Amino acid sequence: MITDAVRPRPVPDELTEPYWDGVRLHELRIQRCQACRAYQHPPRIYCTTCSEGALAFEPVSGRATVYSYSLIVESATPGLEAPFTVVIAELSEQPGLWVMSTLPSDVEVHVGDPLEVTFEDVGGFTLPQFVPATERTS
Amino acid sequence: MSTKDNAVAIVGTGYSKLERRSPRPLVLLTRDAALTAIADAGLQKDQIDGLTTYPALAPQTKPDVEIINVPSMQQALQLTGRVRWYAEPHEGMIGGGFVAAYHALRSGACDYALVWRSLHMPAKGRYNQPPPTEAADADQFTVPYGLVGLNGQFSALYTRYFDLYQGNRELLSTLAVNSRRFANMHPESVFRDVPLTAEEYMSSRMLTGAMCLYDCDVPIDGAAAVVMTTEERAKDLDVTPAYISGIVQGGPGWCDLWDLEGAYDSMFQLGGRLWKETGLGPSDMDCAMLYDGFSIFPIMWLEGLGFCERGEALRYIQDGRIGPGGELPLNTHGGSLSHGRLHGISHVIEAADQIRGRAGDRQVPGVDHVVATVALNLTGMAMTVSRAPV
Repeated sequence: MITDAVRPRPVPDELTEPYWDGVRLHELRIQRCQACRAYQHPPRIYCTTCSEGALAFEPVSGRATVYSYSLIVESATPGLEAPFTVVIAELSEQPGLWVMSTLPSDVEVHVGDPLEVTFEDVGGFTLPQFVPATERTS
Repeated sequence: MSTKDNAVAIVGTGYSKLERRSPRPLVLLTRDAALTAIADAGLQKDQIDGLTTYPALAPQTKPDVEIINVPSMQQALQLTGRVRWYAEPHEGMIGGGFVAAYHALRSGACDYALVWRSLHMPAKGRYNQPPPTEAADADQFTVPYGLVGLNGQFSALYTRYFDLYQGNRELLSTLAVNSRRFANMHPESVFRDVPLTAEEYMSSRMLTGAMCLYDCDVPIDGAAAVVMTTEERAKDLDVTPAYISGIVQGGPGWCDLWDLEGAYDSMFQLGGRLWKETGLGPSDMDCAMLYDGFSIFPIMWLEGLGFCERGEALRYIQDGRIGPGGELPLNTHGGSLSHGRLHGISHVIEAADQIRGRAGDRQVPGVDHVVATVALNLTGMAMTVSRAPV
């Protein structure tokens, strides 16, 4: 699935830097409103739930379920050879809190399946990934 | 708000030649469509005093060549100095244009509004950007995972729908095959001479695990235009008007393309408001023109508008129900899937053609009301077009 070509590197910006800082340390931190306690991802410059609260990044459990997935049969991404499955993992903390994941196409997934976070070091950067949860954590 | 007083009607429609690729510049194709629509209404071009379109299709931006915005159209029709109202609503695809024109006419901001949509097929046949080496902004959360472009994102909408509601491609094939059958009956459709069987659909090129080539609208060079005016003015014209008996706009604003629940929110909200506004309901509709930029959209619109229960549309469309002579002929022009990508304006034109008795071999007998929708999980639009104001 992974080839020698250079995979597109996420470019952190002022808003997303704390997320990627956490990822580099193998910790998933999600932006959270300190007033209404709602999470949001990707990070925004204001709380889209209550509009006014201060925002901070907090560690989350790393547990998720499969919201949906796309079997990619024609890759448009250098460094990723099709077929592979992009899984949209919905974090257990809150509905609509989605983080992507790339799985080999022979890993069978269905909507609602439990997932757990892992971290993939891709040569120069790190991505959070979600894999089917083991019984211990599901 | 009742639409009965001060009603608005579609009085003219027109297409340019619709082709996969045209040697004719987009601005002239658009002019062709506009002049056809204006002549169809029995008007002179200089009577047009309102202009509206949704010109965008990122990353295309060049006026006259890639997009036809208000200034392009005004110049191409040589309407300089005559236009007293215009708008380029950038949300809701062309649905925003219809809503804007409707209210402009009712308020007297203009007397005859021209609504158009032009689409240009890019030279290399791709709208997407070349493969990225870096992923910034929103892309940083998707592209490193191999999720690039619309197909991969919308595919997850299909997958979730299939998983939750026991759907599959075989059931969905009925939609594309039905649309092609109607396109074969429409002399102006891009696939008028090309049939499509369920077998061809099932064995066609897959774009993702859930979607094949025939699940996507067909990109073209072409344009379409609609002339609208008030009921009072429509009565002075020698045409059969198609009245806009209800028109609603809205939705959750933005939601991610794979967000099935977000898309449903939009459609259920619009469906509920449309029936409340008009006093009509799904059983009053004689046929339906539901936006189909991707094949899953009309499936979900059927549910959002209440033609069947949520999750039931793949079964609802079987057994000839949406075909010629069926209970609810669907996308009788062939839809964007088979008539050509015109981003929803052709759905409104076909609704008007059915009301005005001009749908040729596709004509549904005794049509009183047709529902048309544009867009999906962007802010959407739904309207009913009727033989008389309601």
